[in-house]
Formats: sequence, C-alpha cells, structure tokens
Amino acid sequence: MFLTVQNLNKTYHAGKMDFQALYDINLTVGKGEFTAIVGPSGSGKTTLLNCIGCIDNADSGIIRLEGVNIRGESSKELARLRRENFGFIFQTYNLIPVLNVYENIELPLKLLRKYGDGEIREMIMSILDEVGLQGLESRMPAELSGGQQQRVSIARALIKKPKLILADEPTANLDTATGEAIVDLMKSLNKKEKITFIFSTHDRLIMKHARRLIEIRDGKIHGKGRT
Amino acid sequence: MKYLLKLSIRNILRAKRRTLLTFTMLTFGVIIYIIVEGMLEGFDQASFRNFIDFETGHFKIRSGNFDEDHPYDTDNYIQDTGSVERKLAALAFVGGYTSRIHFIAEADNSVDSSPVLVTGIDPVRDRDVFSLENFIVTGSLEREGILIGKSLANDLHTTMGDGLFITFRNSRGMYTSAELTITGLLQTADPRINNSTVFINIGEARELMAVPGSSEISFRVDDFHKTDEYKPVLEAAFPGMNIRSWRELSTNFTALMEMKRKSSAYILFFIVTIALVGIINTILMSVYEKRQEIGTLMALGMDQMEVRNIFLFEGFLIGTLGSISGIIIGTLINLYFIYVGIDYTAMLGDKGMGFNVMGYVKSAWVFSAYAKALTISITASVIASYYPAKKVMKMEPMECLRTVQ
Repeated sequence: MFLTVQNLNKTYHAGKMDFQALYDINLTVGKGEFTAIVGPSGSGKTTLLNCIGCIDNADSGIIRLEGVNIRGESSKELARLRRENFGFIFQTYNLIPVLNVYENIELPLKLLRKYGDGEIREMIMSILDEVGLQGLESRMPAELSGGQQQRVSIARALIKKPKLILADEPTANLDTATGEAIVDLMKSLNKKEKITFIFSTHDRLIMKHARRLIEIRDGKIHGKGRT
Repeated sequence: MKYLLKLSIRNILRAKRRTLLTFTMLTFGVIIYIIVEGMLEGFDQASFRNFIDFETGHFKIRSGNFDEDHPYDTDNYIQDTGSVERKLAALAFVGGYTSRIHFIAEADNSVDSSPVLVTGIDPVRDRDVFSLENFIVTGSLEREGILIGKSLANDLHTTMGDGLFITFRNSRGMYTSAELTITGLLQTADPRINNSTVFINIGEARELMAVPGSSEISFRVDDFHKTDEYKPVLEAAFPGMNIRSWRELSTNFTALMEMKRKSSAYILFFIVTIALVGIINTILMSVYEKRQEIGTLMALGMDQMEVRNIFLFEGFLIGTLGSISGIIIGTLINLYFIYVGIDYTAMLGDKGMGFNVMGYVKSAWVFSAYAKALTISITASVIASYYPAKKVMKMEPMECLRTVQ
C-alpha cells in the first residue's frame, strides 16, 4: 500500500489541559487516489493531515509511506522527507508575501537543488499554464484574488511532482464556484500527473468531487467509502 | 544560499520603517565614531606637532645629572655647550640644533603679576629647530627685549614697548629683578607658550642667571620616526648625558591622550549596544511576524538551519549596510573637518585647559577606525540576530502554522 497509518494517536497539551485530537487512527491510501477526509470543524482532519505530512508529531503509531515508517525521524530528516515527498496546500494559501508568483512556485525546486534555472523556468511556465495563471508570474500574492492565490499554492505543491499532496481545507476561504473549480483542478491534475491527493473538507459540495471519503469525528474514523 | 539571501533582502525591505530605524541608529553611531576618532587623531597630531615645534624638537640633550623632578634647577645646566654643539654638527643625521635656558620667574608690571617660564633662545639658531619665529605677530626678539604671548600681555595689561619686571633666583641663589622691554608679541597654537612663557635672548639669560652654559640643546634629525634608531648613536657620542627623544619626553602627554582614547571606546560600546538592542528587536519582531511563513518554509522542506540563516543574513545585511552608510556619511563630514577644522576655543578657552592645543584644530584620517567600525558593527549585528534566529531553531513547523490557522 502507498500510505498506511496504524494506531495513530495525538494529544495536544495546553497548560494543565490535555486534548486528544486523534484516537487509534488506522487507514490506507493507494497510489494515485483522490481522497477526502471529511468531518466537522475540530474533528481532527487537519491534525491527521499534518501528522501524515510530517509537520506535526504524533504521540504513537506508525505512518508508512511506500512501506517506510516515517514517524519519529530527526527534524533534519523530516525536512528532507517533506522536501522530497510531500506537497502542501493550505486553507490560507500560505504564499510567501515577499515573493512573486514565479518565485513562490520556484521555491520547492530551489530547495530540492536538482534543477538548473532554465529547467525551472520551463517547469514553471508549464505549470502556470496548467493552473490557468499564465501572464501572472510577476504578480505579488497581495495582487491576486483568493482563487488565484490557491492556484499558485496548488502549482507550488505540484511543481516538484511529489509522491503525495496534502490539502487542508483548500476551498474553505473561497466561494462555492471558485472552490469547485479548485477541486476540479486538483482532480484533473491527479488524473493527469498520477499524484496521490488527500484533502480535508467539511463542505458537502466539495466532498462529492472526491473519489474516496474518510469520515472522521472526535478524532476517530467513523466511516470510509467511495463517492 | 543565494535564495536565502534573496529572502532576507526582501524581508528587510518589507518592514521598511523598522529596518530604517535600526539602520539609522547604527549609521548614526558609526558617523559619530568616525568623526570623534578623526577629531581625536587630529587633536593628537596637532598636540605632537606643537610639542615638537615649540618645546622639544626631535631630541633634547641635557646634563647627565639632570633632575626630572626639578627640571629648572641650575645644577642641571650643560656647562660646555660649545663642545656638544660641535659634536652634534658632525653627525650626519642631525639637522638644526639650538641651545635654550629655562628658569622660573615672576613677571609683573607693578600692577599685575604672573608666574612665567623664562626661556632664553638663540634667535638665529632657534628657527632651525622650533617654529616660534613663524608665530610672532608683531615685533621681534631683540637684545634686552622680550617676546611674550599676546594673551600673557593681555593678562598683564601690557603691550609692545612696555617694560616688564622679571624676578627670579639666579644660579648663586640671589633674588634678582630685571626690567625688560616687550619687543615682540606671539600667538602660537600652544596655549602654554601664549599664556606663561617669556622668551629672551640666550646671552641675556646667561648674564641674568650667571651661568655659562644652557639648560638643554634641542635638535632635529632627518627622520623623526627614526628616533629609536638614532638614540644609541647619540648615547655613544654623548656618554653620560641625558638624551631624550620627543617620544620619551611626551610620555605624560601620551597618557593624557590615552584617556581621550577611552572616550572613543565608549562610543564604540554605544554603537555595539545600539546594534545589539536594535537588531535583536528588529529580528525578534520579524520572527514573530513571520511565524506562518517560517512554518510554510519548513513544510516545503526548508530545514531549521536554513530558516535560521535567513534571519542571520538579515542581521548581517543591516549591520553591513548601516556601517557602510555610516562610514560614507562620516567620511564626508570628516572631510569637512579635515579642511576647515573645529574651533576649540569655546571648549578649551584661551588657556587650553592643560592641553597644548588651541583655536582651530583639523581632523585627520583614521583608517583603522573604519575597519573597526565595520567589523564591530557587522559582528554585533550578526550576534544580535543570532538570539532570535536561535529561537527559530527550536520551532516545529506545526507550532508556527498553528498560531494563524
């Protein structure tokens, strides 16, 4: 299996208060799947995505990516794993405000240190075309609409052809039409690039676009199914 | 690395007002340091110049039993001045030489009086060693006449042609008084000459003091930087005599300058403090403001060291640009003071407050101050940015992202 999560637990500590966000999560995701983790706000969707993407540490359990346990590595190794294997799409887009569209998309490739400037330029122009942002490469994030910013965020996640793209509520800050367009874009890229997508949402309109649904409530998986 | 530097530059330019404030404080500190160092150096150079030109020449030869604690005692006199002068004339590296006699006296005009140092000079030879002649504003030194500073003349309410009584104890221990006419007035850059020295003809001085010789023989050499090299040659030529270079004669004076130097160290400390506080504040604010960006960069695969380096670069850039602009502006201001100078009269008054400099003093170039300002500003800036940058090292990506999500 491409991704396996076994008995994953996560508790947040705030002063003397403890809050368990995930309880014994078990799930598997196949390569190239387009999966939605659904559930109400505070159900643990973001925590689960963050633990899978190595930007948060689970307390116990196993996360295997292509058979290799990636939980509990050093911070340097986790940075390498994120750099080489994951693409992130955030609810608030999280573009770097001092970099323009081109430079934001270029960032993951620069961190990989595998490509020359000419190669990078070609890759960026091609991805801008795919996400429908041709001609906007020199715009700063503040000069773009929410939908355009999320497209830049998708292009940034996709540019290095990661093994897995994790999208946390990618449509939450967008109107319905733009949200649907963004999910359509992710779906078509998933189909074209064969990249595995896992995204979280609590929007029923968006859920219907997913090929597979994993429902989470109060930190526990309540159901898995296909749309 | 280039990419991290680009991010640092953009970050600095984003928080323009905050960066400008830190940058301005640092620039201002460096400007002050450059100017103060230049002025102190200019002051030192003027002081040494006056010291050599009016008091010491490059070397002084005095009697072997010269008593440093009682420099004007008549026992200190060189008896056979002629033979010393002849030997000096035979040395190739020796330029001009001249004999002088010093004794303490009281100068009065029957109404006002003032303690003075009477210096007997040879008007012809003296100009080969000292610059006194260039500062005579009126008259000249004539036999049975005296040359005094304008400010001493003002203090005693006397002027050219007036008589002045000089009272002193001669070599036989007898109190003697002589009325001498003011035949010339001086105005030098050395307040001690202007305020408390009376110049008379050396022949006259010998007669008054009833001594055949002189207190000292001063002379110039071909290169005043070579005094250490020439001293052993002189000691061999004049065994048993007291031979001192201008450097050795200015030790008390050098100590005074060292004290002045300490004030520039305080300025440097001030710059370092500004750099540390300003930059810690700027970078710390930057770190807190950019938590989400730091989290995003880490999520994209940037490791903590690389993120830390972005903030270290920010400190480095602020330090470098702040000190370079400080050096440029400081140099331009210093250039003005090098050509125009600063009038120290208001600060030191006519009396010089113990310094041997007065009036306009020109600044000087101190290139070591530039290197010091640049090195210390950059080092302090990088050290200051290290603390906030170290905080980044302890941050986990989720910790940064959670604050805003």
